[in-house]
Amino acid sequence: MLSASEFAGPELLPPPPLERSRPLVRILFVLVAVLTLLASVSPASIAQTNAVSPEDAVLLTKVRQAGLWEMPSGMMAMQKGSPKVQAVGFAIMMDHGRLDVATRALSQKLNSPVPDQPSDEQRGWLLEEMNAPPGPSFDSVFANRLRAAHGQVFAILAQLRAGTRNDDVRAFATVGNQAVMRHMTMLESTGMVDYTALPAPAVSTTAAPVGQPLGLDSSQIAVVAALFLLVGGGLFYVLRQIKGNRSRARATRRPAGVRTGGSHG
Amino acid sequence: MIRIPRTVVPAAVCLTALALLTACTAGAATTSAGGYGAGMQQMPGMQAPMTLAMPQPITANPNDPMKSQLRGAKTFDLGLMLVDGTGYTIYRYDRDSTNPSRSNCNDACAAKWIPVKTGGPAPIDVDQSLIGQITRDDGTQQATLAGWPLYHFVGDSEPADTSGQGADQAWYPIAPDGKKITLTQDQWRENAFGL
Repeated sequence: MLSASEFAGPELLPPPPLERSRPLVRILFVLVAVLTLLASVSPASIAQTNAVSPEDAVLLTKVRQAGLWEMPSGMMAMQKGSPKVQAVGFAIMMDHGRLDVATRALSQKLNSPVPDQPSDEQRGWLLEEMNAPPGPSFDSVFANRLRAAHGQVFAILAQLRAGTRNDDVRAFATVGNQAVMRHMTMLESTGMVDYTALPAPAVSTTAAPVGQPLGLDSSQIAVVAALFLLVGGGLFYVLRQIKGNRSRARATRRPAGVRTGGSHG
Repeated sequence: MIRIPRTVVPAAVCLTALALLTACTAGAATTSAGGYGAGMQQMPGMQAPMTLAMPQPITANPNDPMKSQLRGAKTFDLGLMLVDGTGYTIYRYDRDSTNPSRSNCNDACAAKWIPVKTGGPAPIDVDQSLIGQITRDDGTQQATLAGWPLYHFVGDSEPADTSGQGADQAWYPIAPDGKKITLTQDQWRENAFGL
């Protein structure tokens, strides 16, 4: 067919419709293939922000269970504590009520079930509070047990707040983190907290690297390389088609009847 | 002809790229599953009876005088809110009237929306001058705030629970100044505590 260019004449006639559209169809096909591939790649990366990791589920569970024992603790503080502890107990109870509303809503939204009972350890603390006589004895048990428990949850919340891939969990951890910070401060304001009884912070004092460098890992590099090949190959092909199209167009500048008796002319 | 290799080459490139892509995304999905799972810490030796269960339905202790105490509370997401002495949310009804104060929630409605009784302990963080009371159609007394008859919602099961918010587009938690709270918990505040 290309040899037909020899017959190029002075007449400027459009190529036959079929002949003209074939390269276009091919170009479109390549474009569609590239777009389909790109589309099939992107949902995977978006889905990561909606998926619930096991760590996300742990956070929901921890906040839920914190509420399940601290709300009764707060209620008890309002009955058995000194005036200062009564006020702290009420504020903690209310915050955990609101946090629990958020926890249940998020648990439902992310389809990540949460327990409806405090842990056995937390029940033990509740029992301790129940057995403590009203006044300073109760104040001490209340402030120290809650302060220690908040310290534990604080670390979990901080890790999830820093590293979760889930947008909802991140927003939730932001508020939860602030709540726990506030509660620790309020509990300490009772003057009852024995800091030496708290676990020592587990922080490395050596100059540890701040996590992995932010470089791409090998799989990401491969994806980029594949995309490069794909897009580059597609572009190359499109250019060649356009070029071919032009030369073919030139080839058809010839008397109508020379090559075929087609419908054109 | 020259045309055949022309289509074959890009097709091969595309297929190779496709194969690479699927292989890579599959690989990425499996590697992201690992992690630093923090297990639940349980102490099975310490079994304790739960006498103070939570959640607890609002109907569990209907004659508790603390349920009639009015208290202003500062919630981190909804702002100031009126609750009872046990922290349970108090509601107002848009179809009630305030001048004069009158409840339009009776019988079946009042079984779902429990009128707050009068005679509780002294209010905390609520303007005493806003607090009043009315006699309901059945002869019982009901507490009011800024003229609004006050209710508990039977579906609430823990302090600060606002499960009744927006019901019939007429029921809302009430603030200590008598205004209704239409803000909901999903409207997160980035710095809710102002820290």
